[in-house]
Amino acid sequence: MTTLLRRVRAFLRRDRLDEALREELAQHVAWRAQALEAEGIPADEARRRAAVSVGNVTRLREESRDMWGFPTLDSIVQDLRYGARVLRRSPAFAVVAVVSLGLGIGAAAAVFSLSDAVLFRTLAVRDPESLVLLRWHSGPVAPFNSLNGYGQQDEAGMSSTSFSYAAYEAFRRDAAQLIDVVGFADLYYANLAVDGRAERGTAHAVSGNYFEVLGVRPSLGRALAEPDDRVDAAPAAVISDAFWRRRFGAAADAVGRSLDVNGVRFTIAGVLPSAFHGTGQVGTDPDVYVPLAAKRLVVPSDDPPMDPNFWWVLTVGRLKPGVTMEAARGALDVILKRSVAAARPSLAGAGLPGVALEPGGRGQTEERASLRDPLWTMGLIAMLVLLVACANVASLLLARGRARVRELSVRAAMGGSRWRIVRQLLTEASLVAALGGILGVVLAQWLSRAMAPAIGLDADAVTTLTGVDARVLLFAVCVAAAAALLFGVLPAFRSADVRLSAGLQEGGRTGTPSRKARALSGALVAAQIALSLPLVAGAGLLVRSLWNLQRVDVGFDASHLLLFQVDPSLSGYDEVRTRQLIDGALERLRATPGVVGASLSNHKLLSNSATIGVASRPDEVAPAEGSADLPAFERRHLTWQLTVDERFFETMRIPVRHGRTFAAADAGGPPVAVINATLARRLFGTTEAVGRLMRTGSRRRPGTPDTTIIGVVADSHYTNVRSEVPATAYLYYRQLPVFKSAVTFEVRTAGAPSALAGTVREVMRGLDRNVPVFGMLTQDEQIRSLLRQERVFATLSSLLAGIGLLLSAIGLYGLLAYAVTQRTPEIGIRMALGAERRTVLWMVLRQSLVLTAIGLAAGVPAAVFGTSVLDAMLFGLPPRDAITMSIAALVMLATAVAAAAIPARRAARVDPLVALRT
Amino acid sequence: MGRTSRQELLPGTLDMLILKTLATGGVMHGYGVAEHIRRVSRDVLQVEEGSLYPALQRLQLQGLVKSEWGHSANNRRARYYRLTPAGRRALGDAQTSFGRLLEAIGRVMDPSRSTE
Repeated sequence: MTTLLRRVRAFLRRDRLDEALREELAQHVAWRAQALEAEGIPADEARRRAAVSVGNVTRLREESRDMWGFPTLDSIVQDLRYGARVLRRSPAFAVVAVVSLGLGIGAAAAVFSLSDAVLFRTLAVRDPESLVLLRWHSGPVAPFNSLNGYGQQDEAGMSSTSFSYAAYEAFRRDAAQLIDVVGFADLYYANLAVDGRAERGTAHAVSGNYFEVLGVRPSLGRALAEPDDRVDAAPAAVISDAFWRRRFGAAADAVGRSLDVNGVRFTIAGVLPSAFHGTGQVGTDPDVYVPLAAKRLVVPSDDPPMDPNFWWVLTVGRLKPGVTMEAARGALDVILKRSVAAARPSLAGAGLPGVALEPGGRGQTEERASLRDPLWTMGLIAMLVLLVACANVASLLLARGRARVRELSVRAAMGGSRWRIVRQLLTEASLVAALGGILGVVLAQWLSRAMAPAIGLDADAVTTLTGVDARVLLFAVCVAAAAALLFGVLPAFRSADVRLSAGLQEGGRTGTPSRKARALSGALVAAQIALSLPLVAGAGLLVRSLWNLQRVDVGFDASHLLLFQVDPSLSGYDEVRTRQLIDGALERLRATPGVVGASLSNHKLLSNSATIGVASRPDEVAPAEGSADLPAFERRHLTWQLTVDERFFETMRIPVRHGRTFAAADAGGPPVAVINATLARRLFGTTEAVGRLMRTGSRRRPGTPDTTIIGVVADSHYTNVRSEVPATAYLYYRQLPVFKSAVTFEVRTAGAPSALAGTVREVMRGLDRNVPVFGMLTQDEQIRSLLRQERVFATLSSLLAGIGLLLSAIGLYGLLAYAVTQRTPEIGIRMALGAERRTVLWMVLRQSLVLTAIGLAAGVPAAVFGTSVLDAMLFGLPPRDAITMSIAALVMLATAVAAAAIPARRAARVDPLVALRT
Repeated sequence: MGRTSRQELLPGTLDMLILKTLATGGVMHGYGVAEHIRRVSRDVLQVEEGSLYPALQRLQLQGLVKSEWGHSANNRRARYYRLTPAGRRALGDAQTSFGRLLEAIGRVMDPSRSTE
């Protein structure tokens, strides 16, 4: 204890103690010299002998310093100071090392922050570990008529997390002993109006026990509770923290104010904490939560919510203490089977769905699953960049170690122990890593935002999910430390291995690297090339694939088209008023100067949105309802359907092959359709199908007339450009029930389409200012946004590959430049003996090419294997495309030649006279 | 260089020799300690300065020795060391165990003495 105290005191006064020792030793030497002189030795010799007898004063001082206290801490500070000075002295080295590491760490930290947010973060609720998700699995026959949510279907059967309201109620009532089940539904977009100012936002409907069971306390006001979730309750809603800040400026009096959701007036009961983003898919952050019972009011166009054959309620369960997942599952399974058997007697006996439970602490899983692969790929790319950066810094350190042989030899001669020198070099490496880490964290902030669209997150989700938090910081620290070890240890031990005599000798032989050291630097450079090749090849594949996607002929004229959407149903429009509004809009748009044509459809083309149904020939008999053959029949007859107006084909410039398109006269007549060539060929084996009959839907009420085909049009892409043109049936909007969701208008313009945006908005405002126009953009922009993920991915991977390439070039350049300096006398001799400049040039170039060839030999298998993770993303390219591989290899070779250019020219300019004299 | 006449110290004995020197000599500086050991051992034990000063530091840290600055006979500033009570106790312990060690070595080297 007292020893510790003395030690602390000594540590605090260590400078004074050191000074004292120095003085004491000087005194000692003086006395010794005096004594020797007294023995008759000359003064000079006496002083020398006295000094020798004391020996290495520096080591003595260091030893006693170490004894006094906290040697590591003390000398680390010293090492750091020294390291900082060394870095300042060679800014070029410092900048290259720190920037390359920063890029590597930044890329890795960005991927980590996204993965953390998307894959690992749990919901901001009480005890997320005890939450479970309910999912049902059934045979191939669907247990419902319609379903909202995510469904999976394959040969074996179907599965989804959406349940009927009846089943949800039964879960709550009959399994209450084992599990608390909350219900909610994603209402997607809603028209949210405060004080008459409308905007499009997002809404969820939640059950009365939702906030209580999840344990989410509002930051202001109260949460929704059971009394709110009754059909006769006064409409109350809670809002998200983000919406509260956006629309109410975080005002405390927001509670109690009214908010119109799709025209229905709600009173704001409370504001939710900022960490809570609901229990929906990853990236969703609803602005408003209304009671489940109010869904009927807010989305009146949907099927009746109480219909047991309409499955739309998503659930989260919280297991009661001590209840196992299996016990709860068993009970829920029985309850679901009972509920479905009551609603669909035809399924009883065989195909009743069963319940499975999954851990639910992270919310819904479907979107998250789709983000996993792109994240994994991004992670792989980031890791490669980090490794290239590490190899690059290692080779830089190694080269510096050689340049510092003299300094290190001096240190060793002055009594620095080998371990001490290694530690000094490691400290310098750590300093570089720390600076790189700081830069990396800053870059990660920006990179994670840039990366989000590349993995398929939409813009809304980016703000809720990206950013740097404590976990990301910790990750960056760990990566930086690991990197420091990776690139610091080898060069440190190599460099500390100096032979004193060799290091201190005068002249050109100073610090000639051993064979082993040369091989090591060569290996590091080759490794950078080997690691960069997969990066370059991957980027090449993605860029070529994007190029192919952009060149796909969409089948209609995408230029000069302005698109926008309205959703009158969100403003409480009924059928008659909706028709009046859209017809009025078409009429006025067509009369607007600068407009060549205008049309409408129920989906925006090339926006990954479609209605998919079934169409068959009347003579193909559909299997009976509930039959196990029905799903297979439906899959064989899948048909994409688009509801359009009379002038759609004219406006979009889709060529009509046979027959005619819709006319107003069809409005009251028998059902007609225009089909594309693909559907015509599938149904009839020919495109000459005008006048033939088609049957849409497999579950038809008897007596419904078949649809007459009045025209066949050329194939054009519908949902995206990646898949084949689907078999498409165009239906006439005057023959169908009115649009229950958004209507898309297509406006063909004479000039630049975006120039008409303001005019078009004005026209729509003139019709009804309560129906907001949204999603206005040109068709070209729509195609660009469709390819956004591909483009961002290609851009980012090109950027990272470019960094890898640049780092490799720097590594190669450094090695060659050093080699040329080393070999200057040799080159001088060669030239004096008659070697031509060309030979010398080639000598340097050859070294570069040999290293590159070794790197490529190692890199090609890595690239072939590594780029296979991209297979699912590529379009129009064979997997492991040989052309791209060759281009990537050529790029590497060109880089090698470029990196060799300056050193080679310097070598060729060596003047034999100058070289040999030194 | 007269190396033959000098003797390597047994490990661990230097601390004891310093403590003993201070116990007999009272207050001494480092040079004095080295000279005393050399003189008393008749030039057989040569204390390396490279080990003497670290040893003094170590003893100070263990609280066995105290130091203060003073002036030497020729009025030069010097650091003087003295034994602490703890140091005196430690010296006693060291002498006892060293004595036993010497005795044991003696018995091994000259078995005739071990008969009694």
